[in-house]
Amino acid sequence: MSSLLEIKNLHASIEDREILKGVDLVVHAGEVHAIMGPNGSGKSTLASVLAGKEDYTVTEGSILLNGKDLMELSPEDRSHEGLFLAFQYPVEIPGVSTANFLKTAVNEHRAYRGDEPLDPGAFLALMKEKMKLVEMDPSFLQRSLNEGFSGGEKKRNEIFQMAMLEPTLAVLDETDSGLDIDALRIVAGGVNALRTPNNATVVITHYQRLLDYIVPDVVHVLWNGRIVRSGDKSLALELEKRGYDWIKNETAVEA
Amino acid sequence: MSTLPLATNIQDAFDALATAMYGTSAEPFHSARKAAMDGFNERGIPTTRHEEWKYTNVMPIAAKTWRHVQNVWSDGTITDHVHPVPGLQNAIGIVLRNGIIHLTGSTIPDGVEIMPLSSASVEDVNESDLHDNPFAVAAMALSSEGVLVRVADNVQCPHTIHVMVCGETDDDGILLTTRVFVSAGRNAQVDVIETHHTLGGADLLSLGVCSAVVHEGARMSYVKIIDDASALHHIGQLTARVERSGTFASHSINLNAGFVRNDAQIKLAGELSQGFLYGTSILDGVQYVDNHTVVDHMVPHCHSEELYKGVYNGASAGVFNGKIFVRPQAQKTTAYQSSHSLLLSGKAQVNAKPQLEIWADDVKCSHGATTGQLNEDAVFYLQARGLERSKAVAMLTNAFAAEVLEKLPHGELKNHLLQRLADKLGAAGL
Amino acid sequence: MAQEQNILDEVVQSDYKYGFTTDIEQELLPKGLDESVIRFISAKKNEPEWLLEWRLKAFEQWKRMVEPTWPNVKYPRVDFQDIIYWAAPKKKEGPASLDEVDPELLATFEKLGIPLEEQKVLAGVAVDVVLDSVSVKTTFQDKLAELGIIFCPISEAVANHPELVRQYIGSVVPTNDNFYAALNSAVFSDGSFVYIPKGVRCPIELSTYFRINARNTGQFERTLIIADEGSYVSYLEGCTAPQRDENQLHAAVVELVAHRDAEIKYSTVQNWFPGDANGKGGIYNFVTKRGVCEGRNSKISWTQVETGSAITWKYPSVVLKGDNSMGEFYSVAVTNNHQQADTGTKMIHIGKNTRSRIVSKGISAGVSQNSYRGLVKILKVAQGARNYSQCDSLLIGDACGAHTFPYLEVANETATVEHEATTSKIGEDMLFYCNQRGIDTEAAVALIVNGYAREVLNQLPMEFAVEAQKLLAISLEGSVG
Repeated sequence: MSSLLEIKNLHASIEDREILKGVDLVVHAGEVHAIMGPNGSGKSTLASVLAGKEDYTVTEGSILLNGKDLMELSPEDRSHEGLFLAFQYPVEIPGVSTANFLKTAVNEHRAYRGDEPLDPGAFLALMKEKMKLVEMDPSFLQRSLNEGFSGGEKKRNEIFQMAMLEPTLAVLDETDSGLDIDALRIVAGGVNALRTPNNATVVITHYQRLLDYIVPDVVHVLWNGRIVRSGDKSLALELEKRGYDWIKNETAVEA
Repeated sequence: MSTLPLATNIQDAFDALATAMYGTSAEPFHSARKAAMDGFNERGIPTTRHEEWKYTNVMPIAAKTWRHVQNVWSDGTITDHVHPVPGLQNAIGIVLRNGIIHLTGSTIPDGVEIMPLSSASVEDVNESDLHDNPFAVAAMALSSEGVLVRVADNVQCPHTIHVMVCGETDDDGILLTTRVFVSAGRNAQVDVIETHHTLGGADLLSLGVCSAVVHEGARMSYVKIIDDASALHHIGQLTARVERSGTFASHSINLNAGFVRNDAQIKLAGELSQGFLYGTSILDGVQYVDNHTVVDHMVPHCHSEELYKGVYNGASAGVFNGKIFVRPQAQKTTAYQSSHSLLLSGKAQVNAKPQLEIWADDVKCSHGATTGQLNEDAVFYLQARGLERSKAVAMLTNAFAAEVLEKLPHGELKNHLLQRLADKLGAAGL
Repeated sequence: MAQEQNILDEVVQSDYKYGFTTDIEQELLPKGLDESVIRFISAKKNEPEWLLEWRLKAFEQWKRMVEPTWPNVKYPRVDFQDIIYWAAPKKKEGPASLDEVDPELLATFEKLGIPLEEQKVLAGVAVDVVLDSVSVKTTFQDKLAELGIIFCPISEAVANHPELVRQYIGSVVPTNDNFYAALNSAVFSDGSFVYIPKGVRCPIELSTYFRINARNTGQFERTLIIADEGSYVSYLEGCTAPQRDENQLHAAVVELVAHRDAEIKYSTVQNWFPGDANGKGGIYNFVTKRGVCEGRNSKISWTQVETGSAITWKYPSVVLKGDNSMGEFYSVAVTNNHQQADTGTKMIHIGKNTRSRIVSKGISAGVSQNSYRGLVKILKVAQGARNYSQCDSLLIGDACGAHTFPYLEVANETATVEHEATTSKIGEDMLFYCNQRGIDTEAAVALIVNGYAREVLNQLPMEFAVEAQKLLAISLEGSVG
C-alpha cells in the first residue's frame, strides 16, 4: 500500500518560536488518522503548515502528498493537488455568495486539471446533491460565505465544500469544536459518506467525542511538537478516561 | 476690506504689550509671541469661506470692540474666592481674574510645580505643535503671562487642577487670553479642569490655548466646562501630544454660553498610546457651540475613541467637525468616532462633518453620525411598559445626553453635571 | 508578502486594454478658446440664435471664474488655450446605413467589443454612439418614436424640439454653476437628449457609449433627460478611451428632470484611460451630474462604477424638491497606481418626507488616493426628511489613501440623518482561506472585491453588472495588501 501523506522530521516555527519539533507521520489511502493532544501541543500548527500558511516557517523536514513535495507548492496548488483543510474558524467573506465562491473554487480545480469549467446547470445540480450530505438548505447558496452562519452551519459548510472539491487528503481541524450533538452527527455523517479507498482523512481533535462518529484506524498523540504515541482507537478512549497528564509524564520519563 | 474692530483690538493690544515688554524682549517667549502675532495677521479673522469656519460666523464677535487685559502673575494667594463649581472644593485653583493670576485652594503637593510661564525655561515649553486656529494664535501673541503645570515622573497628582478664567467688568466687553502648558512626566497622572466665567454684566471674550504633553505611560484628563451665561464667548484650542503608552482624555462640556468654539487635537505620537475625545452640548435659546476635533495617528498600535453628543432646543445650533488622520506608518490603528445629535425644536440646527483620512491599510476605523429624534421604537417600548409618552421621552433624552458625562473621572462633579443636565432638560419640558 | 508584491508588480505592468487610436479623417479647429470658437461651433451645428446667446453668456461667466482647488486631488494646471474645442469625423453625404460609415470607425467599435447593430438589437439596447463630438448612428429611434419617446443627439433635439431643449437646458445645472459646467455650457459639442412622455415606461435600456479619440480634444458632452409625469427610464452610460500620453480633459454636464411620479435610473461604468503605472497620461474627468426630483413621488437613482481616469471629480447629485421624492447614489470607485478620485454626491432635501440613500464603496490600491465627498443638506422646510449614508473604504497595499469628507447639514428637527463609514483591508485570513480552496490570490482579490461592491453592482442592469464585475477585476488584478 503506497503512502498518501508522508511527513518526515517536520520542524516549523512562528516568529522564531519552534512549535513543531520533528513530526513523523505516514497516512495511507483509505485510512482515517486522528491526531489528539492538549491545547498548545501544535495540532493546529500542523494543519496550517500542511495547507501552506505563510505565517509559519518550515525549518527542517519534508511533506510529501502522493509523492509530491508540498513545500514547493503554493497554498492553492496544494489544494489543487488534493489537500483540503476544514478550518477551525472558517472565514466570513461579505458579499460573496457560497455558490459563487464554490463555483470559482471548483473551476480553478478543473482548470488545474485541464478541464473546461462546469456549465451552470450541471454545477447547480452538483451543489444540490452534495448539500444533502450535510443536510444544508439550498438557501445557504445565496448567502454570503459564512457571514451570519452559526457555528454548526459554518462547520457543515466546510464539509459541503469538501464534498464539492473531492480531496484525496482531508484535514479536519477541530471540526467538532462548538458543535452540539446533532450537528456533530451530521458533520461526521458527511465525512464518512465521502470516504473511499482512494482518499484519507486526518482528524485533529482535542476530545474523543468526534471519534465515536468518525472511527479512526490510527490515533496519534501530539505533545510538545512531536508525535509521542500512536495506537488504535482504544488509545483515544484511554485518553478520554485518563486525560493527557499520564502521557506527558511517561514522555518526560522516556526523554 | 476695512479692518474688523477685533483685529484692530488684537494688534493694538500686542503693540501695547510689546511696549510694556521693552527691555525684556530677550525673554524667550516674546519671540514666540511675535511669531504668533505675525501668524494671526497672516490668517486674519476667518470668514465662512474658510473650510474650518464654514458653519461658524464670527463676524458678530469680530465686529465688536473688546478691551484686552494683560496677564500678570500675583504671588499673593486669594482667600475670598469661592469655587463656583461643586465637586472641586479640594482642587488646586489657578484663577485668572481679569488677567491677574492667583493660586488658591489646596496646597500644591510634592512633585507638582505650577509656575509663571515667564520663569519657565524654553525646554519646559513645547512650541513645536502648531496651533492653527487664528484666535488661538492671537491668544499666544497676547498672553503676557501664562501658566505651566508640571507633574514629575511617577507622581500621581492627588488633587484636580482647576483653571478658572474670570472676566469681571460692568462696562466694555473684555478680552482675556490664556496660555496654559500641562506636562505629565513618565507614569505620572493629572486631571485638569478648565472653566470660564463672567462676573459683572459685560460680555467676555475668552481666547485660550492649552498645550499638553503626556509622557510615556502617563495619564491625563482635560475637562473643559462651559456653563455660565450668554455674555460668555469662548474660543479655545487644546493640543495634546501623547507619548508611548500614555493616555489622554478630553471632555468638552457645554451647557451655557453665548458662543463657544472648541478645538481639541490629540497627536498620538508614541506606540500604544490612547486618546479619548468626549463632548456634551445641551443647548437652548440662541446658544452656539462648534466642536472641532482632530486625532492624528502618527505611529502604529494606537487607539482612539471619540463620542460627541448634543441636544439642541430653542434656536440653538451646533457644529461637529471631527477628523481622524491615520498616517502611512500607523498600522494596526484602531480609531472610532461617533457624533449624535437630537433636535428638539424647529429652529435648532446641526451641521456635522465627520472626516476620515486614512493612509495605512491595516487599520480599523469607523465613524458614525446621526441627527434626528429619539428612536420611536424605544419610546414605544417605554410606553408599553406604562410610562407616559412625555416621561418616556424625558427619560430617553436624559439617557442619551448622560452617556458621555458618565465617562467623567470625577464623581462629585459628574453628579453635579448630570443634575445640571436634568435641570436643563426639565426646563425644556423633558 | 513577496508573492503579493509580485502580483502587484504584474498589475502595474498590465497595459490598458483599450489603448489604441483610430485614424479617421477629422475636421479640427485650432487649439484655443475665444468667442469666435463658440460662434464657429454654434454655426457648425446650425444652432438657433438663443442657443448661441446662451453659450456666449456661459463663456462670459466662465472667464470670470476660477478652477476649483478644494478637491483632494493634485494635477498640473490645465491650459485651456491648449485644447481643441471642435473635432468631428468628416461627414460624408448622408450616411443612411452602417455601410456608409467609415470602416475605420466600425473597426474601432469592433476592437472595443461594442456590438453596434445586431448584437445590440438582440440584447434589446438602442445605442446612440458618440465618437468625439458628433453622433454617428442612432438605432431604435423609430420604435421609440411610436411611444413618443425622444432619444437623439442633443444637437438634433435643438433642431427638432427646440421648445423642450430651451425649457430644460441649464435648468438643473445653471451655466454659472461651477467652472467646468460654465465651460461645458459655452463649448458643448454634443450628447444625448431623452424625453419620456407622460405615463410612458421606456421599454428598453437607453445606452450611449462615449469615446475620447482625437488627440488633445477636450470632450464636452451635454446630456439632458426629462421624465414627464408617471414615466420611467433607465439610461446607461459606458466609457472606454484610447491610450494617450497627454492628459485629456473631459468636462461633461448631465441634467436629469423627473416630474411627478416619474423615475430616472442613470447608470455609469467609467473606464477611461487612467494613465500609466508612472502616472503619465490619463483622462481628467471633471463632470457635473445633477438631477432634480421636480414632482411628488419622483425618484432619481445614480449608480456608478468608476475604475478609470487619472483624475475624477464628480458628484452626481439629486435636488429633492417634490414631496415624497427619493434620491439614491450607489457608487464603486476604484483607484490604482497614481489615480486620484474625489467623488461622492449631494442630496438636497427640500420637499416634505423626502428620502435619500447613499452607498459608496471606495477601493484604493497602488499609490492612489480615493476620496468620498458628500453633502446631505436638510433644509428647514424639509419636514420628515430621511437620509442614510454608508461609506466604506477598502485599502489594498500600504501606499494608498482613503478619505471620507461627509457634510451633514440639518436644519429641520424632524429629519433623520444617519451616516456610517468604515475602513478595512482584505484580510490575510480571507486570502488564505480562498487559497486553500484552490483559488489563487489574484482571483481571490477579484472575488472579495466584487463581494464588497455587490450592493452597488446589484443596482446595475444585468448586462452592465457583468461588464462592471470584469472591470473591477481588471482594474485591481492582483493588487493585494
